[in-house]
Order: sequence, then structure tokens, then C-alpha cells
Amino acid sequence: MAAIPTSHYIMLSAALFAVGVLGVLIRRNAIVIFLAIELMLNAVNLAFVAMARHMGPVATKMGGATGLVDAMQGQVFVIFVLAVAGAEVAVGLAIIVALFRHKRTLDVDEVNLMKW
Amino acid sequence: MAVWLFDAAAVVLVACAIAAIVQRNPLYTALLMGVVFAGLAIPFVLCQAELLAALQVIVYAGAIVVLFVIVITMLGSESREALEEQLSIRPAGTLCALVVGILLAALLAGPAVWVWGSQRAESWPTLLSRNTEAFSAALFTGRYIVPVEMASLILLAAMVAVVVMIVRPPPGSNEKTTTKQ
Repeated sequence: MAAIPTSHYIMLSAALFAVGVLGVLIRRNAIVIFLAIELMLNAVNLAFVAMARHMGPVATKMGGATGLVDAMQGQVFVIFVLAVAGAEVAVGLAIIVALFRHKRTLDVDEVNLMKW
Repeated sequence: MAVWLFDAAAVVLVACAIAAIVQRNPLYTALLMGVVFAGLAIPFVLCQAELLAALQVIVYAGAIVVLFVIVITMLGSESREALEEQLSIRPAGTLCALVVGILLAALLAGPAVWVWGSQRAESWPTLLSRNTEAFSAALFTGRYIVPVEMASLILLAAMVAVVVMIVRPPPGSNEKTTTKQ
């Protein structure tokens, strides 16, 4: 049974991250830009999980040796990224709604009051 | 079997992500991104992170994308940008969602031995509970107990920030008395 090499996961993560960066750069709608940022976060989550599997066999139970705990570190980090991303989405969408109430547009090119 | 499953999922995910970015209707962008987020559960399961795959679907595809859709539909009706219907995307979008759903079902419907051979011959619920045990051991009895508490504080701060930014006084009330809080 051939295992999937870790480089395949990293390539998929890099491709998704690149699509996210493309979305942030070429779109003007604030919500779509935010969605592209979330795509970047997901790509990084995938990279974390793939490298966690690469570091060693995934622990089934916490053992005394540090080696088993290290394999779970990537997954634990992903849990924290998930929690913080949830908070970030709530605050970011609140900012976008507040901005929309003020400027009546979602176009980020229109938000240029501080431009010199 | 795992290799072609991963290859198919990778191609569909990148195609859905690119299609989501080039959409003109932001609602279709959000829905296609939801497909990408749910489809990312497939590489997670293949990396033996079953709990994270479940949490990915629950939190990202189930809560964050729903939040985006709520805000898009709330703001879209008042926005000055034209939201043209692109009828041509509906068959492609439906096909992408169906393919991701079929791949996820193909991954989880059979026993785990189909995916990894005889090395891991347990059932999916057993693997999920093992992963959850390892998670709880790492999070709550290891060195991550402080970050867990800090994450809960971050979520509390986010809730307070959202309420402060969004809640407006009702239109009939006096502005002076409400801002003096």
C-alpha cells in the first residue's frame, strides 16, 4: 500500500495558498478578499497536518516519550488556528458591515480617505 | 486507493478555489469556498487527523461559510454593485460539490482497511476516538493548557468586539442617553 508522499500535501497546500494570494490581490470586493484570506489559512492548516504526519507516527495515546507528543504538535496547532480563525472571521465581518454602513460600498478601492 | 483519492480531491479542490476567485457573484464565491473547505477534510483524514477533519467541516464549512453567506445576503441587497446571475456556473458548481461529496463518502463509507491496507485495520469510529484521545491528552494535560485558556479569552474578546461594533441603538431612542453608557 503506497503512502502519499508528504511533498504532495505540501504542493497542494502551496497551490491553495497561491490561489488565496491571487484572490486577495485581484479582487475588489471586501468579502471576497476575506474569503481568500480564509483559503490561505486553510492551506496552512493542511501544511501543518501533513508535516505532523511526516514527523512520525501519529500518537494514539499520550505516551511518556516526547516523540509521540511531537507528532501531535502540528494537529494541536491547527486546532488553535481554527479557534483564532473563527474569532477573526467574526471580527472581520463586523468590521466590513460597519464599514458598509458608513460608506455604502464593499469596494476596497473606495476606502481611501487616508490616502495622501 | 488513497493515492487516486488524494489526486482526485487535490484537482477538484484547486479547480474549485480558482473558480471561486474568478466569480463575479460573491455568493457563488462563498459557496464554492464552502466546497473547498469541506473538501479539505479528505487530505486531513488521509493524514490520520480524523478529529481535525470533522472539526474542519463543522467549523469552517458549517459556521464560517454560513456567516459569510449571511453577511453577503445582508449587504448584497443594499449594495450598489450589480450582482449578475451567471447561470452557466450552476452545473459546474453542483458538479464540484457532488464530486467532493462523493470523494468524502468514498473515503469514509468503507472500512479504513480499504484506504491503508492491513496496516490500520480498525474502523473509522475507532480511529476517530483514538485521535480524540490523543488530542485531549496533548491539549489538556500537556504544555498547551495555557494556550487553550488563552484561546477562550480570544473568543470572548471577539464576541465583545463584534457586539460593540454592530449593535446600534433603536431608531426611536435618544442618541445622547445611549452613548453615555
